[in-house]
Amino acid sequence: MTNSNARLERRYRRLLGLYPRSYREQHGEDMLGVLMTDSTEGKSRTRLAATLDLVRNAFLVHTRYWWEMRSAVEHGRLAVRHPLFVIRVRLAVAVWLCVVTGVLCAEGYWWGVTILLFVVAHLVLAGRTAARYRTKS
Amino acid sequence: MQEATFLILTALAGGAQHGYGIIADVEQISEQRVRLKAGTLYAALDRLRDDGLIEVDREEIVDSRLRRYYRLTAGGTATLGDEAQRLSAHVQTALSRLQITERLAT
Repeated sequence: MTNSNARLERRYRRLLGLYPRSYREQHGEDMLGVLMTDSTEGKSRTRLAATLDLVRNAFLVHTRYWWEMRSAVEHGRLAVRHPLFVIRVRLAVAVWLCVVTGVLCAEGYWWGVTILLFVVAHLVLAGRTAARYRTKS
Repeated sequence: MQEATFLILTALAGGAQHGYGIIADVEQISEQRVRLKAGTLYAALDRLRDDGLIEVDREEIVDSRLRRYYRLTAGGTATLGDEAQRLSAHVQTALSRLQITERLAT
């Protein structure tokens, strides 16, 4: 790979960083291949147009994902569309509930151990989402 | 349906293709009028896949780069067929009216 090609690839990689992570994981390498083929055959004007197109579409993709995430929350499909986000939230809630249980028990409120049922429920649901995510990817 | 979407689906109606193949095919179908850029193409592919109109056919590594091939789903084929018929009906109407206008002018 020539120096100018390596520089161009770095530039496109930086621009791809503007896209949502899940989108990058899905299309990043594939897009880079197309961008490099197109730019090697094209002129500097082609590269400028490709750059502007990447910036514009990164914004549009973010907007679409944000909008879909909103609708997904409304329709209870968040775990399907954004599994990693759901897993992290469930784990965070489980940890927080463990802390609450610990504090309650330390204060002598032993009924606090019942909260552990919710901890287990969150862990089970996070595990199920993770299993589905693994099967899908 | 936007023109770019229609052209992408039309390109895939001829068989599975990868990103750069779709760009070249769309350019040919549109007689060099439409040249899709990578950002626009992949945003459209991502949306079409979410809508269930296309799916991944296979992946290949060429020159140490990933190449993902896409193909139409049954839903995509039906949607493209409906859209083509709708456009064709509009074209027929436009042509027949133009003939009437030309006849009146002569």
